[in-house]
Amino acid sequence: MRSRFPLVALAVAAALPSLASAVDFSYSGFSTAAYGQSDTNDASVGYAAQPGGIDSGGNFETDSKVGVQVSAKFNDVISATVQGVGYADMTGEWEPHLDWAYLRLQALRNLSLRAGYLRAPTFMYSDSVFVGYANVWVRPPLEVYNLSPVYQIRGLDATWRTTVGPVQVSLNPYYGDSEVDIPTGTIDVPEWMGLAATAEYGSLTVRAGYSEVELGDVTNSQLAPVINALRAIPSSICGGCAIESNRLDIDGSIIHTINVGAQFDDGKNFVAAEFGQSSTQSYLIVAKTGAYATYGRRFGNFMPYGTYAQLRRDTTTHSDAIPAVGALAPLNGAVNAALAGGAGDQDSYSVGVRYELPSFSVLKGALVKLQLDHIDTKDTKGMLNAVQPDFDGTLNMISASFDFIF
Amino acid sequence: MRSLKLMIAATVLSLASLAAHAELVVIVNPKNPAANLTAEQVSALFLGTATTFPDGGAATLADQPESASIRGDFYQKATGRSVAQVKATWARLTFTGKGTPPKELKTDADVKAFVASDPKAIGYVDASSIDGSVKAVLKL
Repeated sequence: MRSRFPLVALAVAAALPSLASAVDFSYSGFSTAAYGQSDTNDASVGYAAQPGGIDSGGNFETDSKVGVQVSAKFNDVISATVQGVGYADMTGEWEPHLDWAYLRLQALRNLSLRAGYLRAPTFMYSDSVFVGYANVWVRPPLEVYNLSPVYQIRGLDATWRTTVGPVQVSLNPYYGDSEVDIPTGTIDVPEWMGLAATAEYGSLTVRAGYSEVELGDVTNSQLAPVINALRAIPSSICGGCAIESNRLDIDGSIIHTINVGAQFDDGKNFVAAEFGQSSTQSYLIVAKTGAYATYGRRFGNFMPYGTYAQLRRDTTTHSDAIPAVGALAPLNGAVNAALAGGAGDQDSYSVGVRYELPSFSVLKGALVKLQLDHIDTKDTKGMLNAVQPDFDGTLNMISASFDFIF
Repeated sequence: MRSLKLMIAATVLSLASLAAHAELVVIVNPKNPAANLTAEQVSALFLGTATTFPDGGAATLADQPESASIRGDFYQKATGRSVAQVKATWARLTFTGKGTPPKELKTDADVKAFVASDPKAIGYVDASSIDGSVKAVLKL
């Protein structure tokens, strides 16, 4: 997907100056400089299967971001927005990405349409998760926010708002495709659709989301020989081989994600809780259910907060669909090795404090956060990456961030 | 020394009483059909959860400078939130393309002139600045 980005950027950049006289431009940005360090070298904390996450060596890459946004409002109906963000993606490399690039049309008073590169609202804070200044935590609870491996969509979305008595309601359907960069290449996402519904009443926000992601071609799949071998075996010899081969093949996998969340913020107390479930037949992505609850209380510029989060794996950890003895035993071994590589259960406990700094010079707002996490993977690999055989199942982590907007 | 302390005390007291009596009003353009707005309606507009007036007309928001005490008073009374919390809310809306933060103007006079010149505008000023060029729809 990255290779297609510059074209969009060039097209937008080329179109802007000629219209500049009639256009209202605005520029803004956000940044998070974050450091994280854990007490083990036998596992690392990161997003999805990202290499180079946080371990006892500590790092600045995993949670640090810088984003710059330019918006051009042509009139009350049409506007264009481009947002570039530097961050570490699933390849583990910290590099610039064009995260948003869209044309927006205010079709009706209460209906807006957008086309281009967008971030999908899979979970309550998915589209704003990089804006550290707007969020309570140093990083979102990974037990929910790691459930979906894709976040950026190329396509269309619509936002329809209405008022039901004192309740503000919005519906946000989206449709498009995507491509995910992984360390060994890319995963194609030929179709992705979803819907987010939000209701706001005073200090309370409630939302529900559903999405369906179809995965396609994977470059350099290491499991291709196993998948091909399974498919070459006649079903008369191995009834389970065909089904098992599909479960090992990313291509054709479908992930359904449901999400329910609520936020209460009366200015003094902050409560956020979310539940997310991703269902899939894939043995590599595995079906999971995650949830978290956060409570924070403001004392002037200070806000101490605490979070409990949990993840439960819903896919089996062992399959005997292929005979474990005889000629097919190596294939049984390969399937179970793949199953063992997927995420497992984990609980995490976090406490932190967020401190709002007085705004100064060009910074419109700035804050610092300090957070302690304790993660217990219950003798599985949990949601951790690069887990070594020596890992004892628990880790403690300290994180600090400086978040600002400009 | 003693008289200086007295002077400071007197100044602080008079400032405190001024602050206590400062009344602020939410203003719209005289062409706006709304006769009055509730604090909830004003809060929804200034927190970005609503983009239109109750009659469905689009709203353009005018804000006071961050250094002005009226800004803190307004957000505390209308939304129950601090200036910093409101900034975080607008940061989320801005960077997800869901809203444009209020236009920041320099003084009461600037806010009044802005609201007087734009039928979609809404702002807030000290009650003492009100005149016939704008319509007061809520006292806070």
